[in-house]
Amino acid sequence: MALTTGPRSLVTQRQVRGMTAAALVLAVLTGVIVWFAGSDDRALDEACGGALAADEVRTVLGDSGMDVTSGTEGTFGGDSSDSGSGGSSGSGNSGGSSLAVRCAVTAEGRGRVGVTIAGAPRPRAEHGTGELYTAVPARDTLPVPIGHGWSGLLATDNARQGDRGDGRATAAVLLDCARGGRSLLITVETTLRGATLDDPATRPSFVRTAIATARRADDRWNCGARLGKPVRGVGLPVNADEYEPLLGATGTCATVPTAARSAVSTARETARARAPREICALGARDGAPRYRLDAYYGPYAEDARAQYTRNGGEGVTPADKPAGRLGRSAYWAGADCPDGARRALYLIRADDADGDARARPDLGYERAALSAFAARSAEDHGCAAPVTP
Amino acid sequence: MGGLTDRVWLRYAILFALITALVTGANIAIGSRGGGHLAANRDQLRKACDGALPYGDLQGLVRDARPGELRQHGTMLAPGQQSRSLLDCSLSWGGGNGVTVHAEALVSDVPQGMETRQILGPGPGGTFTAPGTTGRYGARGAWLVAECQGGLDGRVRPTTDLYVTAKVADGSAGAAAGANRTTALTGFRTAVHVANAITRAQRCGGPPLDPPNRVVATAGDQGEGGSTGPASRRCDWISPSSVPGLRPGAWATRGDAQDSTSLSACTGEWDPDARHNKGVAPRDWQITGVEAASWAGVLGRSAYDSYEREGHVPGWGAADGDNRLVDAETGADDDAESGAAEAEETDAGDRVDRVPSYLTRPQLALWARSVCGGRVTYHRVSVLPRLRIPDGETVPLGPERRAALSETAHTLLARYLGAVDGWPKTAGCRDTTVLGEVEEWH
Repeated sequence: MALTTGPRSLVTQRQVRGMTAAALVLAVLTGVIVWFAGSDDRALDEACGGALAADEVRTVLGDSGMDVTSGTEGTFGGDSSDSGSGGSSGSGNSGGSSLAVRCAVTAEGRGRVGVTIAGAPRPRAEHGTGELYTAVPARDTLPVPIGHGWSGLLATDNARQGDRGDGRATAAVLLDCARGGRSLLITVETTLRGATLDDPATRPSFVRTAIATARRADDRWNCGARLGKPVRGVGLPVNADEYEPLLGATGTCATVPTAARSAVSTARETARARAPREICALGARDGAPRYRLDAYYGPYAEDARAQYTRNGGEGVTPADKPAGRLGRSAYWAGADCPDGARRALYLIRADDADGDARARPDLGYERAALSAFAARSAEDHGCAAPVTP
Repeated sequence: MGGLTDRVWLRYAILFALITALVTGANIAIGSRGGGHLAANRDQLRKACDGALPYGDLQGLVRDARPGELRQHGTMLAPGQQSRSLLDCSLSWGGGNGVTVHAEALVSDVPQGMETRQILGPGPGGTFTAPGTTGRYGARGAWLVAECQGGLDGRVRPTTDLYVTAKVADGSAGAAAGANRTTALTGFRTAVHVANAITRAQRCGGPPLDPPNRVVATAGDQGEGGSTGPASRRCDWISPSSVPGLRPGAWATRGDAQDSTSLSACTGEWDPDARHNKGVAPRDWQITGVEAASWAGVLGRSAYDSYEREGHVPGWGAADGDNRLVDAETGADDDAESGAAEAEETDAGDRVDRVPSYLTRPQLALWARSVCGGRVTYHRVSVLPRLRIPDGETVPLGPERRAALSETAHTLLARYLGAVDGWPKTAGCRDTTVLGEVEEWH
């Protein structure tokens, strides 16, 4: 018996020790898991200096397995309390706002939301160091206004459902702050796997985070901007083949004249709803591009002018004068806008593939088209009558 | 094993019985929880996508295990909402079984490869055509183009061109590896059914499309090569006897097998495997390949645009001076082979071009435009000379060879347009204008 009971009691002791150790390990493991699980939530809630609309991101990407990165730097209007986790800018305001906030949330297999929040105008020292603000795709597919009282855009590079890149779009919301001509530009790039922009029920998911983050940013940096209403629907960015007769245009191309000599008779346009970027693309009868009219407001106007500042040696540019001629076939105009906002910028440029409009410019038409476009856009935005070339 | 006692065997037996009972119980539990959806799923198939799906062709895919998952949008379902799709539906039943259809009114080109080689060449996996249907089946399912004479709503401007895609998945390994014949046929029949449902709902007028009852493999290695029946006869005119300038001997021809009123494509190649050609090697510059194709309506615009993007339409490339051997003024060149050609140069028309080795299929194309069946139709023929160019080198193409290629291309076009069984004759093409040549070695 001694031979059997001895080992049996030894095993029992080992079992007790083992169970105790296992319980301890389990408890520690549970704690670690709970802490890590909670850390996702904490990181999300604190992302973008606490301005990220975490609930909206969870709605769009799901609420687990998210990787969050974030950085905040600079100040907004000299408010020193704004320095965030990324440290202060030290760039010096010199009348501008150095606030630059960036965060990104990636959910493996589900998608990604990347957010930038920029104070505007930027410090003068930043002019000449690349793009001042996150760009929105606007080359081939025209961005559409978000509307519903917001000054914002929905833009995409993608033209067709099912193409590579379908399910990725950029939304931008501009908040004109109540004081001092400052503004906040919130830009959100959303990629949703398996989603298509073509589905009107899905499209609001691509602007939801931008809208909700704009609301929080307005609070966070005491902007006091006039905010819009909830967005239940948003239009579809306009593709290169979606042209229509210019006569009868009711959106951004409304009032722009046709031209016999320049063979301008079609237009690609979007609705007009106080968007900070407006485009009217003019084309020939078969839609072939001829001219392009662009309107820039607030930070986008500042950025466009800053690019001309960088490109020295071009003579007089939009950075120097309210209106003028640019190169062989381009003009610009400007308009003063309310509440100390940056002067709006309007441009017309030749856009034809064969270079005919550049080689044989129809200058009279270019000026007339720019004047009509600028006057209508300025009126919609509550700006003064534009100064035209 | 012999050392195991009865008691150990009993333990193993009990353990085995327990595991078996557990697995069986789990299966029954899962089965009873997941089953019983067949009737509802079939009902959903009848109604989904505005009732446009072919119930008879797809009911075999419906599973019982779980409720069907439906995603759908489009202006036919929600007329007030902005969308480029008339219909876009995806219905799945688990186990890899499902169907996805998409229909849109085209305001520009057909979003599929329209060049001759793309029409005839095999894609990744199996590619099929269905005689009588203008379209193809490939890795992304079936697509077709149909006409809506009454006009289609929902886009920024009116259009008569309807584009439909359909992808059917039956969960089998064959479907994953590449389309099989049955899946391809179901895909085509689904696309045709959806197209007919739309043209009916949109009051397009005209007769409905006939659902196909067979498919033809596009790849040549499956015994068909798109060259059976009428498709083969449409290309029979290609031979050295009818087109002087082609390399003598036996030629193999292939057609697209779509039997379409909007599209036709033929290729011919001198056949090195033919009995008559054994032991014969064509010389450089002998024409050993030809292409001939026609595209009507939206397909014509799409094909022309596709070639234009590569600079391969009349008016592009030839005047650029790229690859030109020497400038007529300087006449300087150190290539011995080019000496004779150089001496011949007297003006820009007598230039000598260089054909580089990296071009896989240098060819001279000739374009023409007609009216066929009331629609603007583009024709393109091309001649492909035999060329063996060492890597990294170029060969000169002088005026005489260039003229010979041109003459053969013009003869080829004339034979194509006049061939009794050829597509242009059967389509009643008239008012033909020759648009010009394209040197596809620039």
